[in-house]
Amino acid sequence: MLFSDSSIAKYIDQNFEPVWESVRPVPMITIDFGNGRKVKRTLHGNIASYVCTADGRVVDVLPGLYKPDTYRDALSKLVTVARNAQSAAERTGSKSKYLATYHQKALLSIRGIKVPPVTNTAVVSHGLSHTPSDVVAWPELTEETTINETQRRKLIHEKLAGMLSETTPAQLKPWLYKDVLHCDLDDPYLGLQAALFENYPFVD
Amino acid sequence: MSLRQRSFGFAAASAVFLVSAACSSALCQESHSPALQGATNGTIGPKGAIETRIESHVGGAVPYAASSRLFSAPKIVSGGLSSFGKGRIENPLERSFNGIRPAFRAGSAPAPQPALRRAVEVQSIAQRKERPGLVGWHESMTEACAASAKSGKPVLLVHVLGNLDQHFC
Repeated sequence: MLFSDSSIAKYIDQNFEPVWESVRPVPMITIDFGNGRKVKRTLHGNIASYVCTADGRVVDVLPGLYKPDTYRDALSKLVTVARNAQSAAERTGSKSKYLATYHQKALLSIRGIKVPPVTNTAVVSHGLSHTPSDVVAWPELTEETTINETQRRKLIHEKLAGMLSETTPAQLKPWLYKDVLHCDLDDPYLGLQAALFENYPFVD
Repeated sequence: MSLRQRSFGFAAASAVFLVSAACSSALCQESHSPALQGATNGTIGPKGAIETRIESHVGGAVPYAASSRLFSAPKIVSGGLSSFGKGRIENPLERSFNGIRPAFRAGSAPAPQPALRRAVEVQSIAQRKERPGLVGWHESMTEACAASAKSGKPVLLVHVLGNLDQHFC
């Protein structure tokens, strides 16, 4: 959805060197209705967008799915931060201090944001057939974007501000997926064991 | 070619058309039959047996322009994105005849007309290759970093569960 948006794709191509990696197979659920009909869905998971310098060191992370315009705005800020970090490295030999200061300032900025509580928890019907452009307009995506930009990025800024040395995506990934995205990659059930097995009366 | 030969040829072609249309129709209607489930997971189940009999009747590649109305099917909604119809999975016979290029492989070359005697492969929908959005992705982080060093542009690394170039991710 995000990367199928032509304006987002164009912006990424013009301003980044993009690459994607799979962290693990996606969990799938297949419902067999017993009459020949089967429905297949993904069960759990999320994406993480790391902005890195040319040496593969993390500048910042955008956790989860975003509305396209918010994603582009966040990326545009990170282009500047990444270039400044690279300049700092060329001047002083290290970008750690610059990045630590950046994350501390960003943390203060987020802490000052008042996030409205989620009041409407009713499931909204979006009908049976929709396109990716329809999904962009869903309030759930707006809510997810807000949570990403506040709660999740706050955790990321805290983590990166407190790191004494630069880190790579591979080093950050386990913590990010477990503590920020709540999808523990080391857990065979990706954190869903309780939901799947608690109060289930039958032994598999 | 005499009028009788031409008439016979036309009748034979029509018979092939009607046989294939009937089978396509049957497959569409019975696409939800448990007896046909085996063909949706890559194995040659009862559908393979049906298609083999068709192939033995025809005995060679026959041009066949199937109408899309023969195998239109309801869409499956998955995670907010519309999937292609079940007909695309459960009617490989049509693909054998007319080399239809599935919509989810936009940008790829049209599938060649396979010989009718070749076994029909049914690929799991979950394993089908998709175009990973419109972004020009590098093949690896190493390649992206090398490009970044040259261009001065930062690297954008996206981590996903599954594969961005598959239907489900």
